[in-house]
Amino acid sequence: MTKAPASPNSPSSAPQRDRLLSTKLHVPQTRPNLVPRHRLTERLNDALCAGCKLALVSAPAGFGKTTLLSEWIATPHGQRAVAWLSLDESDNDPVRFWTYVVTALETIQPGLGARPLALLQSPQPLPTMSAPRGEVEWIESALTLLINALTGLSTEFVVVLDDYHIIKAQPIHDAVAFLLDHLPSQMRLVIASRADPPLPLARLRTRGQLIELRAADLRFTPDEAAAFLNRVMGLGLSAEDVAALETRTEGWIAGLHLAALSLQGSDARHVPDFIAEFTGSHRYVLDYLIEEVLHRQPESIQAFLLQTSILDRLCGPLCDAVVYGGDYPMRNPLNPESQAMLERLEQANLFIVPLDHDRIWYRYHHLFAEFLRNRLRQAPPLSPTFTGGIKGGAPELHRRAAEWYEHKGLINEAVSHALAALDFERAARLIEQVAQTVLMRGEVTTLQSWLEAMPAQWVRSRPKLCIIHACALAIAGQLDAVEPLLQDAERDIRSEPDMPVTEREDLFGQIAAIRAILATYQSDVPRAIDLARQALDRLPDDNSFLRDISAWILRFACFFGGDVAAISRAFSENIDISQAVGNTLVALLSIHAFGYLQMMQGRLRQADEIYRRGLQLVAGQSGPPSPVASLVYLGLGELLRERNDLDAAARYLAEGVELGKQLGNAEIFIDGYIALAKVKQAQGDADGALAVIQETEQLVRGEPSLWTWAELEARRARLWIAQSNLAAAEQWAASRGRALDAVPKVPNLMDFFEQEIEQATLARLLIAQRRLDEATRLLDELLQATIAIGWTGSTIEVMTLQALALQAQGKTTQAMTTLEQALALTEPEGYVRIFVDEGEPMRLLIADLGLQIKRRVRGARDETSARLLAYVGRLLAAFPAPSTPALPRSETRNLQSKILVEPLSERELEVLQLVADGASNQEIAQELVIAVSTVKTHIKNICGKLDVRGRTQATTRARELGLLS
Amino acid sequence: MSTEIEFDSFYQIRIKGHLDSSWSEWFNGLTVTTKDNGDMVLSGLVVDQAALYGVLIKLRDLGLPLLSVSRVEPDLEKT
Repeated sequence: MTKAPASPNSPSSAPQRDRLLSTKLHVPQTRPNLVPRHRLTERLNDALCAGCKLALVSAPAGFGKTTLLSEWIATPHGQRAVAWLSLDESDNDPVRFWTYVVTALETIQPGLGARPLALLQSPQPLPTMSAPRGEVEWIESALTLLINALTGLSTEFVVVLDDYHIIKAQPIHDAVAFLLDHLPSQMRLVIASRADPPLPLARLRTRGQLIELRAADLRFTPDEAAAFLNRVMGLGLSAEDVAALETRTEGWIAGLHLAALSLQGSDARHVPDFIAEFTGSHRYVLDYLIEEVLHRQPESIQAFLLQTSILDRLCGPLCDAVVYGGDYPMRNPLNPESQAMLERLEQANLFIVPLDHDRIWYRYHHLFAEFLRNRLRQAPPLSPTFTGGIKGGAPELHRRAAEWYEHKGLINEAVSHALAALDFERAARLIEQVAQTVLMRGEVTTLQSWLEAMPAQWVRSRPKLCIIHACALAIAGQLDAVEPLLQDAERDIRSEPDMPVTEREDLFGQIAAIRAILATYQSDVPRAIDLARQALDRLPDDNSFLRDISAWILRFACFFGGDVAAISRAFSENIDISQAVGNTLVALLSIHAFGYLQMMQGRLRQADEIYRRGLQLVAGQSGPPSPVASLVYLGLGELLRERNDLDAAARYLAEGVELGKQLGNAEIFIDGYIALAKVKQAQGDADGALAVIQETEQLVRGEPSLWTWAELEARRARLWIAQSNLAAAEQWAASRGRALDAVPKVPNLMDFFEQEIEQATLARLLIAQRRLDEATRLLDELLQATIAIGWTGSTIEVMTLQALALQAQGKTTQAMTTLEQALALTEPEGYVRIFVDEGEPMRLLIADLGLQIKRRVRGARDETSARLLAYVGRLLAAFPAPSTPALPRSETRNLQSKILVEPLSERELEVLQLVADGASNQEIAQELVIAVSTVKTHIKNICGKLDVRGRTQATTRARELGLLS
Repeated sequence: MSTEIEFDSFYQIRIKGHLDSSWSEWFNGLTVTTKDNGDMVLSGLVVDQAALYGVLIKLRDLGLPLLSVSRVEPDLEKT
């Protein structure tokens, strides 16, 4: 073979791939002349209209499951749109599986799957600041996105998953069960399988949400058998013969089909003989009949069927390659071109299924293919009488198929056939070629299954494969097996003195990057930093996958290590690199991290600049914004809030939270919610602020991270303090107990996030309680810690609190000095809310400071003082007018609402509970067996009685009132 | 699960319908015996549960009706 293998990214391969893959989404065509199965299609329709979520067509091979479903789809079935997916072995990779499901759904409404696809195909989450998140959560996040998108569809639709028995991966079953639990009301799922899938079928059954069609339903009735044999197959059999065949095959459609093929064209006189022989034989029906059918075919067709049986999907050129090897195209009347052969088989109804409208791709009926493959194995090499006989048997055929697929750039298929051919050389070369692409698509499971199909010894002797395997295992979180593979690779590299230096450096760089992943999982920060640096030094520029991962690790590790300056630098460099190579995703991640760090360091201007750059990047993307864009929106929202541009802040935060939920990482959207709560408080909506915190708590129920909870509780305590609800805040402080006792001298960055928020909250409480000595002592400690860690943003906050405490102690001069120092830091950055949120005492203090500065500089204002005075003026203008205290009014309203004017009825309480559990109107209607319109009336009445607007508020209020279990 | 049936057990799988002996290789080398009543028995050592399920799934994919699966003492079989 001298032809250079096509690169998987070559332009010519894209349409090839699309065409092949789209066959999976194609509803298999029904033959025009079928036995109508109204009794089954009507049952399906009735059940799905009656609200069944799942239709399960479960029966052994050859019972006509696929045909029934395609017939059902071809008939009017309630104006439902259809997304069809034919599954195969390679769909056991969860990312691949869901990518196909989403792609299938795109056929109903293009663009619908853009967000879930963006999430599925973005790099899977590496260990982040919280616990490592598994693939399951990742998939569930993407599914949640998908469910949300589907809920917005106006049409009813069906998703068909054909050949579901092929799926063995438990994460896929779990996710399908999750989908069923959260199925949008306009969606129905149809699963065809040879075995009952491991889904909560019993539960669905008892709830009447499952319709099952099983072997007993699918098998041909005597009438259907007669219609099939005589009308469809044109046999003209007597009622007696039909009954005999029906009994022998037990109505099994594949059996009847084969029997009919055997009888077709026979002399009518031979029919009784055939039937007598067939019914009298103990041979397995199919084994017997396939042999009969094969023997009736010319040898050229027999040979073609056997040789091409190794293919999961067939097209003319591929069959030419497999049948004729290197000699094709060979025009010979005895060896017709495969395309013609495929069409002939289809006309002869020989168990071949067209997979597209253009008659390009076909497949054999699965059952038929199984038997053909066994026949092929029985006698390799094939009988010399076969015109297409080949030496080498099935492995040689697989090798040819691998070569063809490789030539077409369809590498996944090429690898599968190379492995089946035991051609490990070729498989290894191909895997090495595509590993990076496959990993970037997130198809770790696929890569693993390939590597596991090769002899372990063989993989271990090839350093590149060892490294790829180690990388797949590390990303999949199977850490134990990684290090031995890397050691094998190192040994092999060292034993190859002829290896070019660049290649050697590349491989060592990859090894370092993978070890850095391990070290990150093991929380060994210094080692992770060291290894990630090594990796970045050694990896060539084109290994963007591992370079990106290494850069990530470096940044996170620096974060853990608390080296704020170093990490800022690292992120900043990374933004440029990612943007230069067009990796928008990583660029946005870096922008988020860099902006966040700038904010921590009190550099609002730099944060502003970088977030604006992020906005441009998002705007430059086609399609809906990636969920990662939420990071930029949230950062900018918080920044705008601090600068008192509250309306714009609210807009960015709301959009950011909405998108951020799709990332599935609670820490991200919680920051957004907290900022939203602060905006509401700033706008004078104290109830609204608390409601946002409450809503956040609902969202993170079950979130294991204590940090999240501690932060939320501290934030709420702050709101209470601002609302003068000291009793509640004191309760918070008591509940935190000793955790609030001490501020560490040299803080650990991770712990200090939480400590800083809690301690600053406590300091506010102490000031409000006028325990001023304790407050100043705590603030002094906190100030030292924030300075030590380089968080100027926090330092400023502590200084404002110090000024308030000092002022309350009557130490006015010191208070003024501290405040002026703080203002000098914040003036260039444009801080506003950090002062204004502290309320009236701060307003008075700033006003006094303004007067003092004016007195001090008198007429001769220098530039600094002038700027400071202008700033003081802006700040004072931002405070609410002192005569409008928002609190007391909301307090009394709160109290009044605790007593309901009109109590809820039993039914309303039931509905309310379901609303709180997240059920849709449709689901509530089903659960309580009432009409949807009735549900709506109930909810309207509930909202009226609770004096709230909407379901969320109703749930919140109901919880406050203890109405929910 | 008790460890005694985890590996190298002798199994008999009874199926309705005869296949010819060429299928033996397909079934992990199990011996194929046909009975006069139309049943067929696959028997032999199965290295572990995964191998057993492999055979059962193969049978399922061929559409063969499964009648019984049992573990037997090899001594009985040798008689």
